[in-house]
Amino acid sequence: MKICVVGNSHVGSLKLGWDMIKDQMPEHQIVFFGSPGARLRHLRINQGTLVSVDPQLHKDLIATSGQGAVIDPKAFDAVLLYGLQLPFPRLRKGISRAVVKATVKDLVTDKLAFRVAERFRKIMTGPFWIGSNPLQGARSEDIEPGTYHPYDMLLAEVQAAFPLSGVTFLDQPPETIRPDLRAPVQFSAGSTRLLTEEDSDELIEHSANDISHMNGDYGRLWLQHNLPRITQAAAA
Amino acid sequence: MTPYSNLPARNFWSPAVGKRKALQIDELWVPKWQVTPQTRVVTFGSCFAQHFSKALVARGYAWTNMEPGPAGLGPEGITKFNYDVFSARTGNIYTANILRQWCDWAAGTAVPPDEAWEAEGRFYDPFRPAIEPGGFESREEMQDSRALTIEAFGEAIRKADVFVFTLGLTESWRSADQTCEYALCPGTVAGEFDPEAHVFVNESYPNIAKSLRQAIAVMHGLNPKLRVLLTVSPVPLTATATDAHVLVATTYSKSVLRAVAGDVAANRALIDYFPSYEIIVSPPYGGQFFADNKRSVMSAGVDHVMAQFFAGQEAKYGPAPEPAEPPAVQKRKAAAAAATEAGLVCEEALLAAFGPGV
Repeated sequence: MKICVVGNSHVGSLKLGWDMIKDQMPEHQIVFFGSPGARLRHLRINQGTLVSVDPQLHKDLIATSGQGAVIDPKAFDAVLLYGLQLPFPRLRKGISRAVVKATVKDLVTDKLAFRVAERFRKIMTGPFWIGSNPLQGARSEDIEPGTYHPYDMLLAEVQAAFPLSGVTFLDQPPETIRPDLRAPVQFSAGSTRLLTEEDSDELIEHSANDISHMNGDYGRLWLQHNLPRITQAAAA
Repeated sequence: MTPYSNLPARNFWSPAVGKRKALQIDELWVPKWQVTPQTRVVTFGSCFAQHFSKALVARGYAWTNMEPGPAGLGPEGITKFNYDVFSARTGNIYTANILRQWCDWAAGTAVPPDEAWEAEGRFYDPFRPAIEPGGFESREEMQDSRALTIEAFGEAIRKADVFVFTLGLTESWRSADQTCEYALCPGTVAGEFDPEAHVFVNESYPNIAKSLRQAIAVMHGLNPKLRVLLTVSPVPLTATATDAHVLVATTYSKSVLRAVAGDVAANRALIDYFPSYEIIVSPPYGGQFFADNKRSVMSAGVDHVMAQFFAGQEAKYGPAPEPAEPPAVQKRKAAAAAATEAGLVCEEALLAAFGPGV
């Protein structure tokens, strides 16, 4: 089964995770189309495909896909949009359902994820999948004080508020969700980034301040958790 | 030689008021302590207290909000759900006794009664009935929301340098067993008035002074260095439940509150009184700051009040230090910095995953 993954920097963890497990799943192939920040806003529809109108995005798509800069959903069995500046709401218990709904609506409206999804919706009729930004990583092992709304309830609100049909939001693996709606430290802080400088193959550690991006272990767990759902739906 | 002989001009009506135009009256307030842009100020009380926080924010002062709207909620939602009005989502605290209630709840020496006002399947908090437009979906949700506000109110006391409180009313509505005071008369915004369960009390000077002193004592138990700035709202009563004419009832109410505020602040180094009430209401101003309804205070009045506040500070302590950036600007800059950092990290994270070393 051939899966198209489109996203910003967060697809890095999925790529690293996929590299860990792809040998165990030879029946699947994933092609990543990644570009950092909001550069994917430069995607435009062209004859049933998405193409870049930005030179840097063009280069990014070629570099990450290893194929080309044209995204053609018809060439894939499933499409997953990942990250794309769609933060997951982290809301204390005590914030009313009405405020939760209003907050989630404001969070998903007019975000990069929506704009990219809207373009996919225009060129494909079948369902596709979205994974939001991961929960931010914790800064320590200590659980932060306070009680939070359950992750599943918030995910359902995100799903309900997203203004496009045929789009299904996927969840984080349970082991990556703490009660304070942070990802455990091992998935972000202190992880090895595997960043390579031009003249070096040395491993470089994640910045201690970067709690937004997850590592390959997270990506592996995310894919192991969600790939069966994606592939089973695509096969059905 | 008399005790008046060497007093400054501000002590005499003729030079300080009589021979001046109203807007030239100055030196109205000599503060007990300095409030700088770096001072962490929290604001609570009646409607007029909202003007205080807005003026502080506009000048880049460190107004502290311990219960801001959730990250991601836009300006429309912030306004709709009454965030950013006071330093916690208490709604208006009109009386000294209600302030004492909130303080006791925050200190953990009392718990709010298990009471909710119900209407058409929705639930309203008797202690902040207008806080959630349309009400809460359940009693539990209402209680959870209030618990969050009590926590934030306690944090506001613990973390603030200055607690500004604007006294608004003497008239109050309580449970018949006197265990609690409601924010408003049941049945006006929500709930149902029950003459057997709800009683009217027009509070007296001694009890208001006692409640206010108790509230401040609880606050100082949580934060011994907390400075308290008292003001009295110049906004007249909308209605009175006494037998008096509303104008007469307003005069009683404001006179008592003014006297309490002055007395509670007297001889207490950590408690000060700021005369916003006098600046709006006193005869020399001729009612010029009131709107046509003779009740609402117009923005010119608020501006003049706050100008007197900052002038009083400057007269005693000199020009204010460089203001901190308004929180909104700080927030934008922090977000921009985070975005820049994230952007840099983004590039790296992606290169890392797809780079040649992988």
